Amino acid sequence: MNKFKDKKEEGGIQIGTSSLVVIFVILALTVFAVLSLTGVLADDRLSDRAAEWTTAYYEADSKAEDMLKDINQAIDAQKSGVAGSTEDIDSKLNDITGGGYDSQKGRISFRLPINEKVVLGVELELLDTPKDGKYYRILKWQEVFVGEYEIDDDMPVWDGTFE
Amino acid sequence: MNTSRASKSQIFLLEFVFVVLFFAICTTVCVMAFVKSDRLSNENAAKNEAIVRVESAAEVVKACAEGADPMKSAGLALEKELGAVDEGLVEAGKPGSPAALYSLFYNEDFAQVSDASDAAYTLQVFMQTAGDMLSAEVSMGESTKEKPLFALDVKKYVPLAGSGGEHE
Amino acid sequence: MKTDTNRGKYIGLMFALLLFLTLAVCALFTVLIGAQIYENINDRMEGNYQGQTALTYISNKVRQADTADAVFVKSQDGTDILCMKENLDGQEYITMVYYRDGYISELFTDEYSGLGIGDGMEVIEAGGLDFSKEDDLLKIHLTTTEGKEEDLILSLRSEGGAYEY
Repeated sequence: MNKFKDKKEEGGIQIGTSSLVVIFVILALTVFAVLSLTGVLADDRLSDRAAEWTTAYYEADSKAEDMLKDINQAIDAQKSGVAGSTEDIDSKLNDITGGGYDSQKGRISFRLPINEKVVLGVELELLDTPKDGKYYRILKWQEVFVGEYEIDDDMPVWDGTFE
Repeated sequence: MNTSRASKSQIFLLEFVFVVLFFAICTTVCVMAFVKSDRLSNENAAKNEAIVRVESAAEVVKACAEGADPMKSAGLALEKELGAVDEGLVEAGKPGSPAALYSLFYNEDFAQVSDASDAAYTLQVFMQTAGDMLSAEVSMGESTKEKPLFALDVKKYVPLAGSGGEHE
Repeated sequence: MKTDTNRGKYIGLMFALLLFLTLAVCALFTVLIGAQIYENINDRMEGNYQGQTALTYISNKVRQADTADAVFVKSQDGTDILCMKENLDGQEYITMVYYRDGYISELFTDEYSGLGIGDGMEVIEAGGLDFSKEDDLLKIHLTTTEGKEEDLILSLRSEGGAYEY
């Protein structure tokens, strides 16, 4: 009996208390460290995607500027009599824009890919007399989403009719 | 009895030694993770700032490069809108084809500074014309490092430039 | 003898207790410092996210709407509003982006619906948002909830003169 009593009164600090304290502290520190790392890595991925997106947009933008140059030079050559007939210029413009020339409306439109789901859509209105050396006016220079929409119809939405 | 008490103390102290050793190792690993997180977080903030500022400079070039001397008109716009500094004509990659260089300087908090010696980050707009096409490379990076944080290549078709015009 | 034994016992006890308290205090400070570091990193990440996401959202909205004379800025009750017109199935609609009550909000409606800036949808939290337009340059000034200021300039590629559908 006395032996047990002595053992209970021994030290005041039980063996294992310091281990428990340190285990809880390490657990807390590990949770904070893991949360910080995962959050920052997600932030890093977001920054990389923003950079990739911006770079892709400007690549498409530069290609569009090249096409504007080809279009303007083709029209300029035709106006100054260097190029061939009207049919030749129509065909040339369609070649440059991939069939985007509408001779009746006097408009050219073409699309350049930015990524798998988004394209840069450009529409030009052709001018008879050049303005600042250009035979066109830019009507549209837009990002257009061409990916597939996944329509979620799990929830019944009111279609406007009363039954 | 005394032997029992002494062995209890010994066990406690031995346990304490192992606990402190384990605590030191784990804390070192956690501190390394914190330091890496902090460094990455700072790099992300710098990269985001670079993306926004490079894009703004590129957009100014796109909007304002026009006329017979598009480099000059774009340069004036960069000076007016962003406070860029004209570094003058520089030798470009193509012989006989001068290029214009404009710079902006930022301190560590991305506040604009006028002096390159105080700059932690530098944004550069390097413009060249090839006939009627203006091309510009806009990049931003740390002043002490070669590799930029972010860079963009911009082009603009300027038909009047093909007919001549010099950058002063 | 018994007194010496008792004194020895108490000294041993005090020593062990002191060691344990030292460990406990060090552990406590380590956890507090770790928590503070995590909070600082989190605040910085939050600021990054807010600034980047808001500006990316606005720039993509503008680029999706860049048609002749479709993008303009107006002011209503001291609030700058970025307006973007579009034509859908022959009907003209307008998207308005503005700052109100701590949030960047968006309202998509037709021009004569009677809806105003109080009816918009909250998109992202912010401290302030100002717009200005000079010729083809659209300037966006964003303030995050942390007080950090960001400026973005966008160029409208489409040229003036109404777009005829």
